[in-house]
Amino acid sequence: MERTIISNIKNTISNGDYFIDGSLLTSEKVEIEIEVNSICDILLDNLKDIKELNIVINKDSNVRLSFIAEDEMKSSNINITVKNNATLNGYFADFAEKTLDLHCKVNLVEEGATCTYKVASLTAGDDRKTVDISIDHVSPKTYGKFDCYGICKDNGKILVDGTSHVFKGAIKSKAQQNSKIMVFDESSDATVKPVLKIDENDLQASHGAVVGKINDEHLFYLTSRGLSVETAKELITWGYLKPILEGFKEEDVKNHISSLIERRM
Amino acid sequence: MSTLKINNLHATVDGKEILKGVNLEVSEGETVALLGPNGHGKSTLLSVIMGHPRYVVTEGTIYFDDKNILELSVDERSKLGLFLGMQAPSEIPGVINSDFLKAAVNARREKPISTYNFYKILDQATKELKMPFDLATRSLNEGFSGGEKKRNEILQMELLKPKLAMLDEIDSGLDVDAMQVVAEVINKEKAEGHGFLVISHYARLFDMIHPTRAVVMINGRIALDGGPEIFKRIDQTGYEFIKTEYGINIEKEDLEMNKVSIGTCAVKESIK
Repeated sequence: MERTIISNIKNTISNGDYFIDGSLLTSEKVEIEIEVNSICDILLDNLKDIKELNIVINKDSNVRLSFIAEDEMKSSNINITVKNNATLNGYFADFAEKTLDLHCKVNLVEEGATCTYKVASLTAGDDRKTVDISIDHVSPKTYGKFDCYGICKDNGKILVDGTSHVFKGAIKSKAQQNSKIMVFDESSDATVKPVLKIDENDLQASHGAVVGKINDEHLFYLTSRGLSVETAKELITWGYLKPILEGFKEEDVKNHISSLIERRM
Repeated sequence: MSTLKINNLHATVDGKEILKGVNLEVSEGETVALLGPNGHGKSTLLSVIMGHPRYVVTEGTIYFDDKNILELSVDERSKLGLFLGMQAPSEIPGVINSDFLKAAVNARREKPISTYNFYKILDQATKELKMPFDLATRSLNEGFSGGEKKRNEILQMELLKPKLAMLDEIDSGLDVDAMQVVAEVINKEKAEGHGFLVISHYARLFDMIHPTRAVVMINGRIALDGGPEIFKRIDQTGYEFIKTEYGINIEKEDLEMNKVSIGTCAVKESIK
């Protein structure tokens, strides 16, 4: 993996691929500023000791922020500011164990700022997770989309808090949310709060959230071909979570995430 | 002997009895046409045999291969050699068709098939069915046309080689050429000694696969059991002769009407 490693507290970066390995950082707080008109691919891993990560994406830049959670993560805050006509494409592969408390706030502060944020999450066993993603539309013609696909099983508990806030004056903005959590058994618990806060009239906004058990017809179809219920559930889980791999560039990273999914299934 | 024996089978869905004492035997290697008006229990019968959890068997027995399959789970019934080609196959987002097919093939093998051998048999089967190979790499049935879904059902049958394949309106959604392709696969499986229980409303498919017997389900029971002349007659004259010649009253399909409320906009005075 040929990425420039970010290890300073304050960083200004431009075009290129970067890696933030939390285990190499000496501070609990990291700041990254992306220069105007840059194309960056940032991979984050091992962020369990990071309390605060602040990212500013300047005008006309395009940033992919791919984030893997695989260990325990206690109270991490990620704040991202997106400026004029800049784009953030965020991917969060959550296969953390036990505790995850992630708060991510995206501020679309200038006209034309865009953010898409995709989350895939597997919650199982003793996991207690909070995934809190909020997207603030502060300026006109901003676009924010949040998609979350999750599996919750074997006594796991997860809260997905998605908030899209369109401020007064953010005309012609578009805010979308879509969350689907599949709960495999009665002992597991998933809560989704798809919140829209709207202070403007001239905009488009939509939100959808589904929390439900596995589709009986799907299970019947798969088992009618000889698959055991367990194998059928694994295939469905895999199908739910695998699309997050598109957000990660290197094959070895994709393979690593695949192995995390398999391990936790 | 891979014979299917159904005795006095009663089954309900949501508390309503659909099967009201079905008696049917399908011998090993036999091809049986299952006919009947809409809503009289044909699809329910096949679903119950396969073990769909929505249906509750209240009375009767089903034996296959001398095993009481009502005691078996759905996957165990499949591994015993039963297959249901569905009328409306599920679309399962994210589950890749080839992953699913490989898992299904491996479910009945002690040692998993190698990737090379799997793709070899998959390639051969898709060519036989004149299916584009890329269907195997897409999400299971998602975005498939009606015909593609039905071919995908037959593809699964071809890979799993069931002793008894139950096909529920497998010809609906197929054009004439596709029906010919599907019929060729069925005939190939027949030649290998595999049995079929086939629902269709049209004689065209039966003309291609030549059932040895035809049974007619009326009011949740098998009302007629005879030779292939039955489906030819039904195709030409409908089901009326069963009433006139056999004295069996054909109950109308129970279609519940939507509740209608008439408000002030629909009173007589407003109609000019």
